[in-house]
Amino acid sequence: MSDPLDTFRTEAAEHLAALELALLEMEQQPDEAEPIATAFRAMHTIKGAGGMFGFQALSEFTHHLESAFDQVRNGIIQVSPDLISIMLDAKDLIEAMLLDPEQTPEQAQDADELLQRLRQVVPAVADSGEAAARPAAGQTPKGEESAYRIRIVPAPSAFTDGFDVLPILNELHGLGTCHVATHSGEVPALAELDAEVCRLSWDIVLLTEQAIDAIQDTFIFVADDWQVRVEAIDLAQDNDYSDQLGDILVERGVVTPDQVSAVLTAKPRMGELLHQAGLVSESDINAALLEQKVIRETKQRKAQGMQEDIVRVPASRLDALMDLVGELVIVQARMKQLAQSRDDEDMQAVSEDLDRLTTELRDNTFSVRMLPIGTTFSRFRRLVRDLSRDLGKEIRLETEGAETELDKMVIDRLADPLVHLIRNSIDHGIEPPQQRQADGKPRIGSIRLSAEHAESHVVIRIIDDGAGLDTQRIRAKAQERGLIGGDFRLTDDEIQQLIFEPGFSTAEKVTDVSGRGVGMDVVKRSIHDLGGNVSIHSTLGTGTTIKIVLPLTLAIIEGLMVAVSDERYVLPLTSIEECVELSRDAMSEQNGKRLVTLRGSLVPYLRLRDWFRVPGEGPAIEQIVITRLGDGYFGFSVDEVIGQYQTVIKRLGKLYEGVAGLAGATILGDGGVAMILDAAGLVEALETELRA
Amino acid sequence: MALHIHGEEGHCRLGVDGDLTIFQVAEYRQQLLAECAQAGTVTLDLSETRELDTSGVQLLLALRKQVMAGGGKLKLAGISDAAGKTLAVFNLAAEFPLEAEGD
Repeated sequence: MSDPLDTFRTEAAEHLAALELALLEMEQQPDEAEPIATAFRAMHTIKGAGGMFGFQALSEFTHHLESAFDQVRNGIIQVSPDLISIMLDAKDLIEAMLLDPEQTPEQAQDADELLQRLRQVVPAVADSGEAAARPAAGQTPKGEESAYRIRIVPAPSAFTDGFDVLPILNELHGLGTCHVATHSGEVPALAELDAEVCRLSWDIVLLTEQAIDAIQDTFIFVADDWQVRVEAIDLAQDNDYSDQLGDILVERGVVTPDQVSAVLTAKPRMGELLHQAGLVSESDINAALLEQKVIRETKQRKAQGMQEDIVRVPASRLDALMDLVGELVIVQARMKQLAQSRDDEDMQAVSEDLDRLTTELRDNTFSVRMLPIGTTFSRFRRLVRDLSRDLGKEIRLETEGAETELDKMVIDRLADPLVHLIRNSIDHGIEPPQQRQADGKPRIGSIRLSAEHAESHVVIRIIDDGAGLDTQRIRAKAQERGLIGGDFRLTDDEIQQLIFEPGFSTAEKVTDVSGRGVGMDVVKRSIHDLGGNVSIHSTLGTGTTIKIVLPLTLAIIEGLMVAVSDERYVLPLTSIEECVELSRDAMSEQNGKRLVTLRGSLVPYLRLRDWFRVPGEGPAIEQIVITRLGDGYFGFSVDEVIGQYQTVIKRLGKLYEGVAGLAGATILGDGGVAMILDAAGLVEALETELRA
Repeated sequence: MALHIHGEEGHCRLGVDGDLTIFQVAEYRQQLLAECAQAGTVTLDLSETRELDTSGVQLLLALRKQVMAGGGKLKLAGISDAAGKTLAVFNLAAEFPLEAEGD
């Protein structure tokens, strides 16, 4: 069993995320009932669970928020922008409070201030000092006592799920006069008992002045898994069929539940009685009993099915599994080669089967770690809202392709770079509303986040309709910094890529929002570390698009295997454009840089034999692999291009950490090792060397 | 936390010290089944019981059923405040009547 406190925190975080989305939705559509209900449920659950896990201050604080939401839910108060802002701030505070059950003095003060603000908008909210013993009341006039029949049948897994009916019964006692009947009829004797499976159920009659809402709220966090029925008892009627005499007698203490169960079992069944009265034939009964059996089995099967939908797995277990699968893939490749080299048909047949199964296993395992990028996209709504408010801009965030899946690790490492890029768009890209209107643009700026699959990689775009990049200014700044010489002719597009260079910023004002623009080179490096690349395309006055291309998974690489003498290297396929034969007359040199003429333009390239100092001359005709880097091209010349190769990346270890251009290694089918190259790293290393 | 069991001549005396909750029920059930199930009378002492949860109550009910099915009796020799409160919330005082020693 994993630590329940961790589970509580994980689930609370999920509720808070749902709460935030609901709040943002409420801001756009204040009359929609669903987000209000979601927000209320989130508050209620966190309040209750928080109390159970010792987060007293949190529970009390959340109680007031829950009360406020209850009033919204009942139409007593309207949703307003002020209320939303207060609630969003409250959500942030709750997040902080989740870190430790002991409330810090700062948190206590923040809580007080927030409740003060809340009181301005929702007068009925009490002081934060009050204990939160009672749930929020429904709004029927007090003084009218009603009776309710409550039937509670917990899920059999209730004990191991961590839910106990005791706190619920206590809460019901707090609502009024409560008569509880515990049904142990289904509890077997000790010999047959599974002690961890719940077979108890309860029938309760509650006399209360509260409205039915208050009763139902007590069950909110078990309602999904338990059978709970709350019905008003019409005290006026005499012939209410469900007023079981047996139950009332039990409640009045006249008989015990066991005695009632014993008599009921001895009593002839309904079917028998009807048969004896000649009203039904035996086959009618059997058919009906069969139907009953089928219905019960279907219900049970459905209940089980729903429970099996989601499984929580610690990420470290998945990592371990993936490592093993990776190793298996490598060993299987060696087996395949062995089988092919022997002339053994049986062995080859087995090897083929193994190949097929291993591929399927690999694909399945890796897909387990795939998550839709939508989870990351939603985080940005809050960012866009808060930031645009702070800067006095009006911006709408649109998303597309939220269901596009990526490896969990990639998503985690993508979050920071995306945040930075969006902040940039908001800060430097989108203009203030008045200026936009003056320019004939719509007042509300738009930022669009899109994600889509393209072959074996994912393309993510951030598109804004803001001011765009001033290419002339960038060119001037770059020349000023010596990043480009006067005689180099770069296209506008190439100039734009310069903003990813370290220390580059043409911002007039350094705002605290996105700093000096030092982030762009970090963004580029983060994306390169993920095996992808980033580029920017912008039109002055119209807008900017940033495009990020990423491999689908970090652990497996789709590569192109090349050879230099006996050495093997793998270049990641994502960046490869084409392979061309390199003839002597296409080769040239300039400033120590090798260049090849490709369809009229000059493409710089690196000779791998030279770089890795592989001894020997090499063939007369070499092959050159052209890769796309940023928005330019770069080539790598090799002896031979062997072919596409899908492989698991193995880390190289500490000894190789500082070596530029190596992304890892892989073990080949024949037991040899191929180095996996990092194209961007190699190019950077080459440029550093040339400049030295 | 401990379950003390003394069996003598068809009379089983049980004491539950500490918690009787989901964390103990499976283990205690085994012990009870091994040593108490055949007893004619079972005397239960809950005066040192710290926490009693629903699964604990269910275990006690199952024990009671087992004993009664064999024609025996289950008596309660003592009960702590906490355990008493739990039984009260469940309205099970009648199933576990408190009897003075020697009855």
